[in-house]
Amino acid sequence: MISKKHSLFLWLLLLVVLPSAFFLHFATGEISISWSTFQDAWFSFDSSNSEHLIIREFRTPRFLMACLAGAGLSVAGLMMQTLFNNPLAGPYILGINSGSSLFVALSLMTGFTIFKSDFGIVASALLGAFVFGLIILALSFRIKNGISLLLVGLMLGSFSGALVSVIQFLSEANSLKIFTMWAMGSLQSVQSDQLISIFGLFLLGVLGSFFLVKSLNSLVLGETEADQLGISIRRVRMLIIGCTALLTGLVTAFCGPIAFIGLAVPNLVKILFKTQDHRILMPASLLLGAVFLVSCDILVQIFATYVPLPINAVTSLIGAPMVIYFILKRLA
Amino acid sequence: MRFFHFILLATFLLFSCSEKNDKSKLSNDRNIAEYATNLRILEGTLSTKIEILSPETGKVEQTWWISKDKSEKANHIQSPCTKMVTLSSTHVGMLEKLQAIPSIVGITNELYVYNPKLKKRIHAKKVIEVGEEGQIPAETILKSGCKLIVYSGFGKEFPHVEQLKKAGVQAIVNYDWREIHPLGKAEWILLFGYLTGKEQEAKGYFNAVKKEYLALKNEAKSFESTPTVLSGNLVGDTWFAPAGESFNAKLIADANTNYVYGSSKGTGSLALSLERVLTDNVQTDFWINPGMPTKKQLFGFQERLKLLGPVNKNPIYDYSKSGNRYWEMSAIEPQKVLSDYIQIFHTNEVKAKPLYFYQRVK
Repeated sequence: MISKKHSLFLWLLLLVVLPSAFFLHFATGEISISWSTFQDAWFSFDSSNSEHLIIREFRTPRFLMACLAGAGLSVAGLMMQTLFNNPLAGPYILGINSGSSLFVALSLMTGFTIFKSDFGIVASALLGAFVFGLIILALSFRIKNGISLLLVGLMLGSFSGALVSVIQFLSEANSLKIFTMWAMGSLQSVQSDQLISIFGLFLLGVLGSFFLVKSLNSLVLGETEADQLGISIRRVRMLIIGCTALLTGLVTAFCGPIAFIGLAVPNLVKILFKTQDHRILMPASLLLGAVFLVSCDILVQIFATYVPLPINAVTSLIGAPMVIYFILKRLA
Repeated sequence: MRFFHFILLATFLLFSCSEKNDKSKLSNDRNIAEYATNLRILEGTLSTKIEILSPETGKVEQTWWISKDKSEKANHIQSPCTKMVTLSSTHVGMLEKLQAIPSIVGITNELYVYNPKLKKRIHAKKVIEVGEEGQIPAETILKSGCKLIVYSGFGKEFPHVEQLKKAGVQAIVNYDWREIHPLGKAEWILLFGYLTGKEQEAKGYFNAVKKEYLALKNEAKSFESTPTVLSGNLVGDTWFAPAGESFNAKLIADANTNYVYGSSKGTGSLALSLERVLTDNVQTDFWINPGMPTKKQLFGFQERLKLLGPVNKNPIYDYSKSGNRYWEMSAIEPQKVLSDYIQIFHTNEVKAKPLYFYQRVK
């Protein structure tokens, strides 16, 4: 456990970095836009002005989606790590994103008309996450052992991954290209009018997760101890899986499978705050997840003039050395 | 000493004969390919030398001798070749123009085929599907019974090329897709002409295309308006548009237009952000090739595309309704693509006629 002063410093830092990242995110990008134009875009919007449109229709939804996706995946990852008592667990361990990938692959690359809906990739990804979320929830009701559930999740992921590979192998070039681009993740597909519903669902998942803080703290001690403390393991497990499925499915549907955040951020938070208390871990993961993904997207925007980088590559390129550094620092 | 003189004389005669023989082969020693930059055709009296140049280095990558006679030489192809595997849609289009579809015994996948005759032959099991270029098993090639494979060479040599050579199957690369002039792409029909023994038909067809294309280009030059044009579509977060020196940019420019990215460097595609495209195209008149045939699909996929300048000015046009027909035939019928562009961009200056490949996005 770190000192109160140290902890306060970290909280202040997180709370200062996020608004700073907000301004930096708006300032970067291929098209340079002045601060006064930025203000005009918000307070005297002119729909015929392309810079106003960029601020309102492109950069704002992109920034907000980066915050929601980073925060949602980090919270989901934290819960998975606690549920399975494994720091290598992440939000995708239950195979929710595999469900999205499978349904997106089916909709883009097969001739099955049922998957060729007019609602596009988002609808297919949402449907896939929902179906796989239901499967894993049903299985969690039946399977008592946490490790068995983890294995089932991994098997579901492998199974759908293999199906996706077969579909990719048989697919024509253009569809394959679209699928590959989706699989690389993106924060730019979200439109301003979709944000309210995304935020509503995000709030539901996050509030549900905060409601589970006490149970998560008990689970840190182990399932047997938590059971002795009067926690209904089956009920808690189902709620955790439900919240994780909702947050992960939501992010995957709108942004594609974004790698690394859900695994790295909870571990980073644990290293920084040196605690297992979810009253601290949960909000810190939420904030650091948002800061982390927004920062990665700032880099994507800076490099966009020279080379378009997928967000997935940047999260891993930045995140992996960062985690290694903190682990080495802790060992030293 | 007498023996030494005999050897000297014999050597002299041997070399002088072979030189004379080569000269007779290439008596008409000049490259007849006019627009294609990666193809050289040197006609001789006995055989024709085909040189295929690497688009990267400009050096000769493959050399082939085509003649009606049999030869055991490693790089000799006997014409007409009646059994070939073709791995690109454009090859099918060229063979169709030469009435040589029956010479195809293998293709990549029926999914990419438009040609009704070829489809019939696939269903009659006279043509097999061999799969994608980089992953074709040697046994599948041998099963097709072909003597020749025409492949696209996406940056590497054809797989199993040495084993196939031993089995008497030659693999010839076709870089039509790397040509930057529309007529250069179409000129690759000459290669198929020599391979199928229909070189005169190929020359005749190409000359007709050239004449029509250049006439249309000249006609377009006389129009007063030069509308600005945006081409391309969004894949993921990236807008792919033809680079300024590409085949598509040339076609658009030949229709007397001002292509927005016409001054950019490169012969491939530009990868742009939607922010950039939106800013660059506030004043643009036309948008072509969005990759989707209906507005419902187009804006359902990305509603923000409605913000693009040309969307509210003029109709959007796309070839996706033509599907495989466009991919098979547009390379060999560039004059029809140009004609479509003239109809689209100069509606008020030209006599209306139905579009051939393009359709209005409704």
